[in-house]
Amino acid sequence: MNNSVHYNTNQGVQIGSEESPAATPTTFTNGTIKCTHDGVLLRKASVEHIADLNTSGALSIIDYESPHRLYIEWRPNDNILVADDSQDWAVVDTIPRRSRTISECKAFNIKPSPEAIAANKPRIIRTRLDDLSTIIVTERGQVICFIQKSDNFKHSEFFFQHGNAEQFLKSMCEQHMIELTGSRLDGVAEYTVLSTETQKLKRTFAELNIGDMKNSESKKEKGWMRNTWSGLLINLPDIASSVKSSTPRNYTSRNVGVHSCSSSSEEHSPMDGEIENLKEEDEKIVNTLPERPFVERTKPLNEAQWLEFHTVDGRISDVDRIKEIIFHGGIHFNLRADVWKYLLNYYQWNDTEIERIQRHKEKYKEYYKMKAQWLSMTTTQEENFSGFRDRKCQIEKDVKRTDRSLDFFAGEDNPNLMVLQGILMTYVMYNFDLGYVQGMSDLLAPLLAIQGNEVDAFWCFVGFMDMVFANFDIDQAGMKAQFRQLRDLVEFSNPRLFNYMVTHESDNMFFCFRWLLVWYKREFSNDDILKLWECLWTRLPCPNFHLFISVSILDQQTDVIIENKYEFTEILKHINELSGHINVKRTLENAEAIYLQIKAADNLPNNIRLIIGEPVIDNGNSEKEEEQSENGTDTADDLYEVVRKPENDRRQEEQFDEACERSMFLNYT
Amino acid sequence: MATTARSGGNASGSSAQRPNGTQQNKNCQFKLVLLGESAVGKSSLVLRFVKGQFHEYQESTIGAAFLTQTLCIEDTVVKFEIWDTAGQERYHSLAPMYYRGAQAAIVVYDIQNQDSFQRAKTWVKELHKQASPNIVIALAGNKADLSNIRVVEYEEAKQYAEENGLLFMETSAKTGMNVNDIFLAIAKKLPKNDGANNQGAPAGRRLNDNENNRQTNNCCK
Repeated sequence: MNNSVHYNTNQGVQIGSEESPAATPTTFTNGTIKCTHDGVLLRKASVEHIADLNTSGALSIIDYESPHRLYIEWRPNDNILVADDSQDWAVVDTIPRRSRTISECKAFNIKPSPEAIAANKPRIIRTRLDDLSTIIVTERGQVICFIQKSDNFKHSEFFFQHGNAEQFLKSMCEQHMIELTGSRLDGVAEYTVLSTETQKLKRTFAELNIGDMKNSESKKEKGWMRNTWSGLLINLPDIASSVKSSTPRNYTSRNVGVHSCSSSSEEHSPMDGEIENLKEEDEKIVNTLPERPFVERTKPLNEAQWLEFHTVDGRISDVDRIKEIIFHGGIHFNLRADVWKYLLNYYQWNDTEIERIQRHKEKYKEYYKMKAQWLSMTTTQEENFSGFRDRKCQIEKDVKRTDRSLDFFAGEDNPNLMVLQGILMTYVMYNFDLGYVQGMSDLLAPLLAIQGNEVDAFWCFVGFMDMVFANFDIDQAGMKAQFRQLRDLVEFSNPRLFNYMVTHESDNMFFCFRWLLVWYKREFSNDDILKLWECLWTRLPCPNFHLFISVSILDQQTDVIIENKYEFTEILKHINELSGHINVKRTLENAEAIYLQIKAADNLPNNIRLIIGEPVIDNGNSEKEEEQSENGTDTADDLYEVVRKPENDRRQEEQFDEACERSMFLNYT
Repeated sequence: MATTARSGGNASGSSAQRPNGTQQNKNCQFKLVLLGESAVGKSSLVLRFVKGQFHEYQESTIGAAFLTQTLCIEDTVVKFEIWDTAGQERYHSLAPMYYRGAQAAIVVYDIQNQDSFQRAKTWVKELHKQASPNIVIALAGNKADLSNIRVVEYEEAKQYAEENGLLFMETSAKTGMNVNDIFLAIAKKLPKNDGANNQGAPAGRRLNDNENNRQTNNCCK
């Protein structure tokens, strides 16, 4: 048996009294662990636990003396490395587990929970066993999901990383807390949580050794007895269940997905019918989505339109309208160099012509200051500065092999390669911590090709990187967050594909890594990527619309994946091989259509609302929560500004100016 | 899964053809992963082996590429499921998901680059520590067409490989030198060694049950 699993059926482990870190005022004292399993990932729970999703912890059944009840408890393991097998990730770098930074929350449109800001305490999920009605087991026994009694919503869902939930559930069965009420060959099973009264009754019979006879197939010689007793026993739960509150068993989705929930309307449904029910459930999901609207791309922003938006003093009016035109039709290629500067936050829409010229001048100066920094690095400095050397070395390797098939970068000794390298090196000085990560040269190359100018391309690149910097987190936290969001979107919008992927171990979405890391750069021709990016840079119609591009492509590939019965590796191969064969127009139209379809859906769950930037709905304490999240956002914005704002220490600037003047780089400024 | 390669156990010492044209009666399937510093030629080796192509400016690998290629050794068809990975240290945290469950690995370095050889050594160490205990590891000193400007000596690498029980060849994805050979050498070594390939997972590492079953089904009847 796995070391991390302990089952204390007879002697409980005493755990001391503790202050509950959860919000509840109850203090829990003298808990006896009835059974526990370590290495259990929190897969789904209510919104306040969003920071703990996919965190590893211990799931236990604890009998507290005060209050005297059985509780299910999940505690996140703190300060451990998470080998998150559910997503086929493993972290080998010894970086302590961290919570999402404020800036990342901003980038991914996740509102940091107030608790997460206040303190990074491990938060315990605890619920009375009595408050649960059912436990559903799926994914070959690795995933268990608790359904709450009050409303038949999912309470929470857990993933057993080590082995499966079998021993845990067996232990609960043996202690008569739950009872198997149905199972299928593929491992999907349903357990009913027994009421306290039934538990007592069962224990009494167990002491008389009757339970064994009921379950034991080996005691064939006592067949007559088994039949007699089992007949009696089979009736017992029925008596008990008639005492129980009769809950209608059609689970509905709230802020958790419905995919793995089985629904059965009959009181004693045979589990064979469950597949049928699952199908019905799928259809129900499809039916809750309104019809997908027809979307058609329009014409690109042209020069006449663009000029119309210029005011007399050179400001750009009606930015929202411009963005909308760009989102739906792109930009005429002649205008790209100019308009991209605005979209990428290099130029400010509201600046007058004079202000813009001034800004342009300052940005040039700033760029060359930073460029002078790395150009002036002496050989000795470089030798003693491994961080710099590594970044430089990686850039040199990648520049040589970036977009060499484009005319702009083709041929031996193409001078544009040196410019590409210069910009990336300067970016290292601009943001040394991020430095250079593979993929960044892919993001820069088209910008340089369009701008045709080193400085302008640099500042456009800075703007682009501000949108995607979390993709390059060393622990891949940003990518993981996007995989989860993408998974949620697919689950909601395309249950057929989602269920297929779940049953074929592909729902980690890892095959979308390249798509998301460089915003589909490798999937489209250069012309198409310009169209796609300028559309995404508008940040319309919702934050995270870039994820809808994935949803859209997957939507188009659903039949191919399912009909060919692709497994994870084949899906990855297929996805990689789609490169150059995806229609950008259709993908964009389809992406918007899916977005509109999702947005118009009834009962839009909160996880989806968070992703697409819709206000979160909450049950009861909505006002309070909204207030909190608003505060959270404000704090996030403030901190974000502090982080992003360049230090303007006047004195240092003066010293630097002097240094520059005296240095050989005078000609740069 | 333990059956994967066992039945291919006698499949050594013959010539290979690529791709297979004749009817074979044994099928083996192996997961192979390529590791090594960035820009040493991992993708180029795979591309040469799988498609017979070479691109001077092969773009960097983002995430991972998955390719398959089949070799024939006597009466056995050996199918390689090849995982080609991104080399930059930044993406190191993804590596375990590729080498987990792999029966073979090619650790690649660039003979013009000493750092890449050191990096190859740390990959070997990591594989010995973390991967399946009986994983077959080959060391490839790539860009051998540029051996006039080499910095990593053949003998040095050879000795290191011998000390650590690795297959070793200098290769050139550009000219094709030793590319098929290194895969073939691995294929030959694999079946003999198997048996324990799959007892292998170190404690705490979860093998993907489904994948194992699948491999068993596809393998060596």
